[in-house]
Amino acid sequence: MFTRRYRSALVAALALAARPSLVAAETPAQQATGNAIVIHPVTVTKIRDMDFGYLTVIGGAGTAVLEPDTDTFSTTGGVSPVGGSPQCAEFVGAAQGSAVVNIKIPTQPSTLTRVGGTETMTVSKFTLQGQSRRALAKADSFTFRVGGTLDVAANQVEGLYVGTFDVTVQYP
Amino acid sequence: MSKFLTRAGAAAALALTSAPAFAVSPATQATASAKIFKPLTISFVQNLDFGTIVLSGAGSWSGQVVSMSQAGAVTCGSGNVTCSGSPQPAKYHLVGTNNAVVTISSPGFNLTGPGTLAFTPNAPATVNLGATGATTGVDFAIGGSITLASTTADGVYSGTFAVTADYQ
Repeated sequence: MFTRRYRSALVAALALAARPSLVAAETPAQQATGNAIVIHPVTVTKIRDMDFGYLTVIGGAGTAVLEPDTDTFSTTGGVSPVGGSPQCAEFVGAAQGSAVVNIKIPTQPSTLTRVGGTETMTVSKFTLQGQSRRALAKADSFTFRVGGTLDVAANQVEGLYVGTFDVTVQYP
Repeated sequence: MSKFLTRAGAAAALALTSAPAFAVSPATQATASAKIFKPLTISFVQNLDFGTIVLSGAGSWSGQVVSMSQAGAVTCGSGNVTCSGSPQPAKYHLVGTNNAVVTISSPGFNLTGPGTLAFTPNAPATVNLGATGATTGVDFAIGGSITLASTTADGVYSGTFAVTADYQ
């Protein structure tokens, strides 16, 4: 009988070992992220940069266009997208008290310069998501996207081009 | 030679016939059992988002806790912060053995950006996979909390969960 009892204990141990829980905890292939946007009133903060993604030029000049109302991307002429994650710039602001604020985007082209070189491209025709004037309640936050049109020459030198542009929010 | 063999045979017979006299049974017999589990899988469903938090309090202040329940309801400090946007809890999906209980682990981590915000997750300790745990599975959500001060820098803060699941 002792032999049998020992055999039972062995079976139980095997059953425990077979439980997935004792092998390893399961980890998802992709973890979730936690995100928060924090802002003081009467300021404006960038949430994300403008990005035209990866482009190629075949058969002539063209443009790449980011449209802020729908956050969509398109190209014209000899320019074609070949990857990346094109996206409009996005900003957030907040009012102190109830107020009407005025958002200003560039009216002049901004220059992008090739990293490690001197070649340039320009972004022009900046466009704003929604109205430039926003009526806000006290401590109310607001976000807005900004798009634009990138002009790409037929013989544009390949590389990464980077530039900056300014937006302004007028608070009363 | 043949005499020795006979004697040996008799001794063996004696041992066999004497064995039943000592056999006993316990009042309760031991049982052998094994439960087979379907491999547990956990997958990402959605990110947690506090939305936009405006540091609306005047002057210098600290210790304002913004917390999100597992249902996604945000409790936004006590006067110095204002929450807006479309907050949502993190969500994962579990598939495994029907009606099995799964233990969830979600250690704390930092949200980083222009500064660092310690994030304390609010995850269920266990999840029951229910009657369709092996087929459709179940989702579970994780909320959490951060603590803000008037000195918290403006910007986008983000961090990554380290969730694991295990049969209980």
